[in-house]
Amino acid sequence: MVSSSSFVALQLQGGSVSNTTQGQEIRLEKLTKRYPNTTKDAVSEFNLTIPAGECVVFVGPSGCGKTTTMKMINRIIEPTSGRIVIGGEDVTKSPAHELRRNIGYVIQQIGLFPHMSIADNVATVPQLLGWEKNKTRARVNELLDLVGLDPSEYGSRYPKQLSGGQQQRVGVARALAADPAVLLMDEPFGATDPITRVRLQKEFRALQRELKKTVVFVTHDFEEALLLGDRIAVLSDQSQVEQYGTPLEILSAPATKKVESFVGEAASVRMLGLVSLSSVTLAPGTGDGPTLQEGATLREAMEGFITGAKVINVGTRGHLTFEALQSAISSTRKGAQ
Amino acid sequence: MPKALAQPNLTAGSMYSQSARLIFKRHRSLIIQPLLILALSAALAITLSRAHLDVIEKVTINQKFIFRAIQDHLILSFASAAVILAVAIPAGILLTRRRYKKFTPIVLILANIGQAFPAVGVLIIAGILFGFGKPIAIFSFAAFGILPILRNTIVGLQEIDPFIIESALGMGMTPKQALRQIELPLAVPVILAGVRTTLILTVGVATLGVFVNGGGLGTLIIPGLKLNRELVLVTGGILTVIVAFTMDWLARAAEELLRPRGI
Repeated sequence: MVSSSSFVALQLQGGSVSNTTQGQEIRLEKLTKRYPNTTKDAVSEFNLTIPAGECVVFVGPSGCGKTTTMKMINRIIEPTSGRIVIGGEDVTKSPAHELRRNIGYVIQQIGLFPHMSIADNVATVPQLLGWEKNKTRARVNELLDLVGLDPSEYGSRYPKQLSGGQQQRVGVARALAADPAVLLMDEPFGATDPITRVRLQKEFRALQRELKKTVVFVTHDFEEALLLGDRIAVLSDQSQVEQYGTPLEILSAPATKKVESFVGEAASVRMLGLVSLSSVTLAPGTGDGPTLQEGATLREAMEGFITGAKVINVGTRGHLTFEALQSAISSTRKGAQ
Repeated sequence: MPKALAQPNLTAGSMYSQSARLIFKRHRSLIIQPLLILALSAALAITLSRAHLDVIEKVTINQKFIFRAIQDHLILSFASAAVILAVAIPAGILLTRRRYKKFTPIVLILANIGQAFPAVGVLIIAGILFGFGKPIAIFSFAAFGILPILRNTIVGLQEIDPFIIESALGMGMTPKQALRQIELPLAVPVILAGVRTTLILTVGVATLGVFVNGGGLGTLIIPGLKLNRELVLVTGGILTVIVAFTMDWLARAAEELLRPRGI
């Protein structure tokens, strides 16, 4: 598999992809879904504002209504009541197919069209929008490159000739094809093997930082939520928002018992992975120990301490001791609370 | 997927022979079947040309009569198949749309009844009620053979992975676009299998056309039986088999050609 190299290239060149549409704010107001012949709402008066350009992760136990809530945003599931406002425009009643052409959609089952080539799959929305052939072709090549699939090698293949991870890359490329402002992702990496999943997650995070779409990402995997979310909405039964905040806020100050149980043990250990060394105060000078880059996290520093290092050098800026790491964590906790 | 793609360093020659072998392997039955049909036809022609025919046999065993019977038989089969296609495929599509789904069981029951009724009975009652001739034969056969295509159209559309349709709609296709661009192409193999079954079925029942003055190969079989002329009877039977085999071959060739790549 051609892997993250093209993502790296993207970041270095800065905007090698013609990405003109940045994210738009999504406002969900009293969004409710009740299925016929049931006595309880599946989603009950859901209120949430998703800031433009951020990745918001809906996380919660299965059956809590998180997927239903997400699917109401592009009205694959029609809300029973409530309002959906995207970029200031009420789209609750606008024609569903037009709304959806401006919203990227990625699902766990991928849903590539098996009778269409990879290139034709990616070209789906541009074709629906009536783009010119040349423009569509150029865009398809650009996107396949973006997700790390060589267009000349993969463009003419069919979905079943690709691995699961490659298929989901195509799924992401297809969702981004018409440069939508909003991206909805329903456990997109849930069906891939653990190694591929981690790689796709990291690539997606890098991609999202570059493209700055507004992303609504559904998962039941709290680790994934921590890794990908700018903000996390912890949901419980009927899509009740237990807490809505940054990963650090949720780890350091769980708002309710349910959030606490979802965060689970070892919140501090998990926080290690979220704090970058560049935000930590260091003692001056370098000591006798391994060196990490500024972009590394406290987790990597912790790894160093566990394997016997007394101090960790951070670039040439200074060095970190175990006590400094402890105080960095506790001050992050306080800062978030 | 073909192995050839995974081995780019094959020489052109061996790649050609490999793909030729591959084509033969995949289409073996498509290549062998017409040879069998030709052999059967030749055997029949030789037998008939060497046979000593009596006066009664000479009425039917002659080129003009046989060709006319085959022609009528093809007309009966193709026309009833066309009627079936025109009715069953649109009906199958409608019955898988959300609004009409509830009618699916009742329509399938009707189609089952259509097939369960003895074809001869339907044909003769229809003949008595509406008069004799080809048109009435064609419509009776159509009622008889509607089930396979109808059922296969419904099944072919129903068994598409619902997430493929969800993602088509999620991309912003209208339901009509999703039907035309995604659902129908994916259902084509199953629908065509139904078409093949129906064609062979209609070739079979078209031998009954003789009972309502519709012509066809029944004009050899029935007199052959009644007048105790085995040669005439067997000729009619073998010709029916040849026509059915040919139809089957054509339909399978169509299935190969029209099957979307990638599935």
